[in-house]
Amino acid sequence: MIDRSKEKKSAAFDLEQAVGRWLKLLRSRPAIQDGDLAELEGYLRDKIEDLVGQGLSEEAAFSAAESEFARGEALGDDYFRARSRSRFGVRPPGQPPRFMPALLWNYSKIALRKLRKQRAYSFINIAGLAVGLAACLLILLWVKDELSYDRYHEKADRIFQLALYEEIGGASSELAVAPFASAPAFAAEIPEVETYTRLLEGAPLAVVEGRTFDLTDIYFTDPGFFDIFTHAFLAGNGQTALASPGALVLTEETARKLFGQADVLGRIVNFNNDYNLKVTAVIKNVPTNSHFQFSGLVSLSTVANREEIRQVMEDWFRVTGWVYVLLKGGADPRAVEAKMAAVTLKYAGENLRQSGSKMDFRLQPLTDIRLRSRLEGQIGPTGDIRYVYVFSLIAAFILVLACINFMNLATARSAGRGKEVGLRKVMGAPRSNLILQFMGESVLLSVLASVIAVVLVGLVLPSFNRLAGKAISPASLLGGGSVLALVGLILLTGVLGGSYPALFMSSFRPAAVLKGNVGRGVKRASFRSILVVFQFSVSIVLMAGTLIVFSQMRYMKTRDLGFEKDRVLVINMRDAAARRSVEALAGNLKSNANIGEVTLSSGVPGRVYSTLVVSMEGRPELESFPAWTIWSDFDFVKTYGITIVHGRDFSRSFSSDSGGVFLINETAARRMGWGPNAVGRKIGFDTDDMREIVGIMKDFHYESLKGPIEPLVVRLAPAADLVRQARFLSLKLRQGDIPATLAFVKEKWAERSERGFDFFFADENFDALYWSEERIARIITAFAVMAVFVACLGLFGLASFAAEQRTKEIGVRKVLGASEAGLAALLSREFLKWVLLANAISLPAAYFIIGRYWLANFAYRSTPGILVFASVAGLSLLIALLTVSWQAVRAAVANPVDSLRYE
Amino acid sequence: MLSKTLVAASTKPLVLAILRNGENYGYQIIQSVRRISGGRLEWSEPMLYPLLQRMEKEGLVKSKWRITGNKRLRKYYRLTEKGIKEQEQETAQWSMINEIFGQVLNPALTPEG
Repeated sequence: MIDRSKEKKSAAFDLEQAVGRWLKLLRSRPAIQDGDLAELEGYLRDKIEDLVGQGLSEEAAFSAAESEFARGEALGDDYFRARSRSRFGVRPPGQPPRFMPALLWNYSKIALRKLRKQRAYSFINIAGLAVGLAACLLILLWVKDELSYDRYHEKADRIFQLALYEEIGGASSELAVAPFASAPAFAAEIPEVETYTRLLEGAPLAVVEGRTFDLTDIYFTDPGFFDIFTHAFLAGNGQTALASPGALVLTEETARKLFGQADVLGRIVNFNNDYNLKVTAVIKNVPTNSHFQFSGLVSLSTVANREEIRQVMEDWFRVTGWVYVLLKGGADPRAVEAKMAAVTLKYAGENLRQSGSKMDFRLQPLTDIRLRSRLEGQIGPTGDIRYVYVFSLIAAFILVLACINFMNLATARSAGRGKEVGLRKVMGAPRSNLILQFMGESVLLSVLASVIAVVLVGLVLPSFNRLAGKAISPASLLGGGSVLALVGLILLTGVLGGSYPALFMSSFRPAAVLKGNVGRGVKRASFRSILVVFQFSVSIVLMAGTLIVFSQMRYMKTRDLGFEKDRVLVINMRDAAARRSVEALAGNLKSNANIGEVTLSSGVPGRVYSTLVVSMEGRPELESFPAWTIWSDFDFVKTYGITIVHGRDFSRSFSSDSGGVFLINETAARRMGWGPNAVGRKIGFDTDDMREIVGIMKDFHYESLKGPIEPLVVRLAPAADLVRQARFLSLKLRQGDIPATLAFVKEKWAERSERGFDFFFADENFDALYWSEERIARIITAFAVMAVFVACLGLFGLASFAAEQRTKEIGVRKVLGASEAGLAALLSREFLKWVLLANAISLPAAYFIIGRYWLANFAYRSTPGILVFASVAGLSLLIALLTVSWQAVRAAVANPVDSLRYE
Repeated sequence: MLSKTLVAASTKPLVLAILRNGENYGYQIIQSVRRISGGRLEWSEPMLYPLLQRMEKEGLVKSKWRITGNKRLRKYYRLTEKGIKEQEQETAQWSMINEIFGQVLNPALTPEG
């Protein structure tokens, strides 16, 4: 590059050689790079050229130019600073970089060697982490699923369920159902309401090509349905699907059930032998994370002109279905609610004033229905945001437990690595290098653990789904967010778990550790014991929680409900034809000696569906109040073994009864202000039709024990009314061959109805009320078991470490005459002390937290007795003892010769 | 002879100002400063290169290697957009300081005076 021809040769001084030497000198400064050097060389040569041009000799010019670089050392620093500013702080030249890739191989080799050599510890570490991570992942999947409800609708943020706030006779309720008449009024009068859809539930008997099917979850709805909700069409489209009367939209599953295929556009389905419907669209099955499920939709106009439906559609005081509205973009729901109040006054104000009741509409955001709504009569099952919080907290705790294990074991093992740390330090490793090394190792372990965790989750997901009543697909583990969450979890676990050992080990002083005395300081032991106490505290809270939840479940299932729930068979009477011939059916059934009383009613304990406003004779209309209502025949009280405390039961021997009289429960009597004197007074659902109260029933639980007993009226219904109202036929079975009786009933049913035989037992039905609690209880149990497992692994690891550390001490003690039992006790005692401490901390906490936040939800609750807590304490001690004693006994029975020989 | 701190503080603005006249390389920049200041401003010349490098890192200048007529490698620097802005700011600040000096020493010219 340098043109030598132009240079003058001098015998005494060779410029090229001098520049070469100069370059060599500068090159030795680490901070000056080749590019810098070329630039500096250019400068030197320019300078020399100039000076020579001014008449200096090459030699003089060189030394003058060179002298400017006298502060070469400082120049290197300048370059270094110019480059390293801001990014990594200032590392003076000459110091090794923080991370040397060349050492990576060594790090991995050491890490793998440690894994192999300490198999037991590695297993405990990895297994504990894997179980913890798996539990964490499962909970995260559950939480993700709960939070995803209804978010798949494109307009989700603009969709609202119309919630009805009612106040009648001082009793208020918030309902998920709303009068159908309100929706068109709101749409017409409030510009922000874009469209609406109303849903009326039906369970028709479908006839397809001569074959009949029992369908449930069919909804009669407005054409607006598909403008509001997003569903994927396999055939047909949202604009026309529900536009005309007689239109039927089927889900893929229902289409296959009815026709054996999904391509059924234009096919005819008959409902209830009454009207024909034409399939106008087939949609994909409703996603499981929808707040309500349906199997098919029928255009509401199909039935709109029927008398009973017309009333539902026009009467502002009839609420039998659900209403959803779509607001225009940017509309303020609060403002719309205010306008709805005005419209309500306009249409129903007169009626409201007369009855002294209140009616108010609220907009329930669609995406809050699943977790945040507390409305009665919700269209589908709801969850509870608090469970989401609690479960997330449990996930975090389990993860922390697993991390603690990791920290504990890694720290405990660190004594064995003192020499390694010392040597690395002597060889010049800065502390940061060691921290990185140990962090890296723990991240490696957590990666291994997470691979196992993912496999575990894949394996248990089907069972978890059954347990939790969900349909989470394994694929959602791999969904975008989940992978990120997983990677985040792995890093978090690795860094959290590795932080303490890394900081602790990197702090070893090389001189001390190389001499061989890694401090077995009291401080470290106490830190580890604090962690064990924490682990066990969390596990014990979970265990206590599980037991309290179960004792409450048991309490609810075994409490005397005030009626006889055993051996009552209830048949679902959805078929109008069957209802019409129920007298004959009942007669047939009674011929069986094993069947006692038979009653037809509109509701049974556990399934009372209607409330009606009860007016009292001689009292102002303002005092009317809503009460749960059952319409029944003469034998309801007898069939269910309900006690009459005042007055008498319905009786055929009183001719006046058949016109319709009432039985009320004690709460209703109190509510009416009459108490026992209510017998003989008159009440009614309609002021023109007041009937006598013939008796007062002792309060019995006809609803879940979550709520207090509310006013109930049982009305003896004239046969004609009953055919319309009745939904259940209850049979009291006598002791005897129940399966045979059941077969008999089924046979008689088949003679009367085309419908499938749909039945349940009253006690099962009641237990089903607690199904959601039961489910939560089971999930919590599963996670409590996991937490205990993780905590035990940790304890096991620490116990074996302690035993190993004290090998020599044990040997000496043995030689001096200590018994094996005494030694085992000595070794176990310390750990048990910690577990006892954990009990002392966490049992009161569990009592407080669960009593305050969970049990408080139940109107009737068991008080967690001393037994519950004693058993938790006993169980935790037993588990801890079993875990620790294995190691303690092993150490105690070891031959002292082995442990002392090497000295 | 200027004080060391003042030299240090003024180096960057001066380099920016010189580069405002166009692309230039290290030696030439130093020569310009010496020529314009009439030798009153003495830089420890090789120190300029780390400074240029830092300015490049800060995104004020961009550099390019060129082979010149006599086949010598030279690194040319020119201002970036950011560098131009920086130069304007710096110059404004220096003239402001200058102005303040003027007003301090000639109270009659100050607005309040």
